[in-house]
This record gives sequence, structure tokens and C-alpha cells, in this order.
Amino acid sequence: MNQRDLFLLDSARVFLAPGVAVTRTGLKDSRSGDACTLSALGRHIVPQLETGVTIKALIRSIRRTYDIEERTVRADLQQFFTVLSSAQLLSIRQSYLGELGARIRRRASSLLRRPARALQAGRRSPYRRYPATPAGILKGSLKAHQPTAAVGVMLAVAIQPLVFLPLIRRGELPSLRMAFYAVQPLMVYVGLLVASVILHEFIHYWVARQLAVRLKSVYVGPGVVGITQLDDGSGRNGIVSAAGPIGTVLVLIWLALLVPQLHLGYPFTGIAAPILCLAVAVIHLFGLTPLTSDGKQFWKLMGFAETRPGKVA
Amino acid sequence: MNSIEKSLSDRLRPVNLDGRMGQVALVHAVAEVFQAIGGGRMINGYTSPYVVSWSKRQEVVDSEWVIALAVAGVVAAILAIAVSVVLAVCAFCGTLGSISACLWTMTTWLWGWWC
Repeated sequence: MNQRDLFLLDSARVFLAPGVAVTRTGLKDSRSGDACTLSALGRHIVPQLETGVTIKALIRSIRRTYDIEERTVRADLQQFFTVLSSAQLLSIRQSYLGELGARIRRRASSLLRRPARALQAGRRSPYRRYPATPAGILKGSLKAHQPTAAVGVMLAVAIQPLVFLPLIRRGELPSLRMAFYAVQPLMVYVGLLVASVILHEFIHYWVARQLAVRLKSVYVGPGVVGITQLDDGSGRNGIVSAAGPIGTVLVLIWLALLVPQLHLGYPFTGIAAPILCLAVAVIHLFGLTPLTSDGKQFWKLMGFAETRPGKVA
Repeated sequence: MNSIEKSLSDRLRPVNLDGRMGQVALVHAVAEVFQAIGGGRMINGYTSPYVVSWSKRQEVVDSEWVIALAVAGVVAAILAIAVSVVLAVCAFCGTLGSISACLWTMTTWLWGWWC
């Protein structure tokens, strides 16, 4: 199993990425000019991706033509789509919940040393791709953070015993109203986190427009959203990458100073607003470490990292 | 049946090859070489889909939000819990107005008193 391979479910629907068109010999990306020549079966498959097709439907149609094992076709399609996806030519829509369930089943099968019924190899979640436009960024960011919202709901339940620890020690339980009151800071935190991520991506977009850096597409996975830029070999890509986290942190610090002066009610009262804004800013500061793609570009720009060109993911 | 013929009868269909094992073995050998040079799998006329060549590949740079990183995710979750507990407890006790008052509230909360 190759860990860089995609984790694809049979229900995953595969499309061509924005700006990618089918040619006589294969595929061409109109934004970057990248083109590839495909084998006969590859050329047979790609026209179906213009309107989208599920892995299951593709396997079925191939097996109608060839006397071949389902497992073999699935593995070949997975390999094929992994290659095309790593070249940003595909947009793959796969249910986050379905993927989570399949991963849990696979892990459980491996722990119990049972052969997994599901045959997904690979580790990486496939990405959906949207056009690099404000609407694409907004749609992609909201889609990417569905899991964040789900984690927020789980935390809302988990923090209740902590908040009401003294009450519970006395053998009392909080009322529903008190419980709702207690989760309001968490709701604001999660909302602010998602809003800040959208802002982060919009800052990348705005700076790219200002510097005339060409953008390819917005990509989205579970908890992941990013913008693919075309590397022009100058330092402008580094500026676009670094602008996202730096700009967002500065805006959050400005909000931390501004909001208390507006004298808003709970959950923004007094010290609440600065604490919330700074807690979210801390997460964005991670974006400037070499652990992240933005951070790698930032440190390269500062002259502290290798200057080898290549895809930074 | 030698090992090649056995592996063929396992992997190729139809199983009944009418004594043409030599020809099939040749096709199989070609297919294996084909696959080894990146040409994909070839069985029963089926050749796996693959990219024959790339015309040119322009380098790209991804600007990716960091939440996918486990460390950022864990920090985000821990901060969410800590911030929510502090703000909720201080709000209940009416001490959100000042840092020192909220700190004192949290201290008493840790000792097990409500406000």
C-alpha cells in the first residue's frame, strides 16, 4: 500500500478539475498549459469525468467490456486517479462521513487481523477542486470545515462536566439554559476559527491578484482548504503564501483591541473578546512554521530554507 | 504443470486454454515487461489506464490552511476547551470584566467552589 495513494470509496464521484478539458490524446489544463497523453482505456475514461462518474459505475462499465477481476480494476483506477489528482487535474467528491466510516472499519479489521471487506488502499483523502474565485473560496472553506463544526458539537458536550464541576461535586446538575449559556464561548470560538480560515484564504487571493500571481484552483478536503498557485519562480509565491497567516493574525489582534471598545454583551463581554481572538490567532501562527506549506514558503522567502522548486503540499 | 503454467491458470481466464499455454505464456511475459516499464497491467486484452506522457508540468505552490496538521488540530481543540471553560465560568460568576477577577474565579473553581 502506497501512503501517497488516495483513499477512494466506490461511491466517490470523480470530475475534471476546473479549467481541465479532454483532448484527442488525453487531458489539458488551460490554466497551466499542462497536458498529458493517456493510454486507450484512460482516453475512454476521461470523457465520463466531464459530467462526473462514480468509481463503482466505472468499475462496472470496464468489467462489462473486459473479463477482469473487480479488485484489479479498482486498484488500477485508484492508481490512475492518484496520478491525475496529484497533477491537480481531478476534483473528487467523496462523503466525509462515508470516508470516516470506511477508515474506522479498515482500522478495526487490521486490529482484529481480519481481511478487510472494503478494498481501499492508500491513505490520502481526495480533494475537491473549485475555481479560484471568491465564490469558490467561500464554498470550499465552508465545505472543508464541516468536520470542524462536528468537532465543535462534540466539544460542546464534552466541556459541560468541566464548566459545572463545582455543581456536579455538590450533586447538582445545570439547567438546559445554563448549559446553553456555557457553550456560547465555544460556539463563538468555532465560528471565529472558520471565519478566520475564510479570511486567510481571501488574503491569499487578494495578494495574488495584487501581485499578478496566477491561481490554479481551490482544493478542499476534510479540514483542509488551500489555493494552488502557479509557481513563476520569483519570490511572489512566497509573499502570497506568507500573507495568509500574517494578515489573519494582524486582523485578529486588531479585533482583540477593537471589540472590547464596542461594549458588546456576552459572550464578547470584557476580556472574552480578546481571549477568543488571540486563541484563534495562535492557531494561525502555526501557519508560519516550516510544518506547513505556507510556512515553508515564508522561510524560503526569508532565505532560511532550500530553494529547490517543486510542489509544496 | 510447471510454475508458470500454474500461475497463468490462476490469473488468466478462461481457464481452458486448449494447449496453447506457450502462446499465452508469451503474451503474459510481454505484459509483465510492459507493466514493468510503466505501461500498466495487460490481462485478457485489458490494459490498465495510465498516463503515457506529460507534455510539460508547470510547478505549483499550494497555500494550505494548517488545520489538517494534527498538531494544529490538537492545539485548536485544547484551546477551545480551555477558553470555553474559562469564559463560561467567569461569565456565570460575573467576573468577565477584569482579568484579575476572572483569574480569581478560576482559582476558586479549581478549588471546587462555584464563585
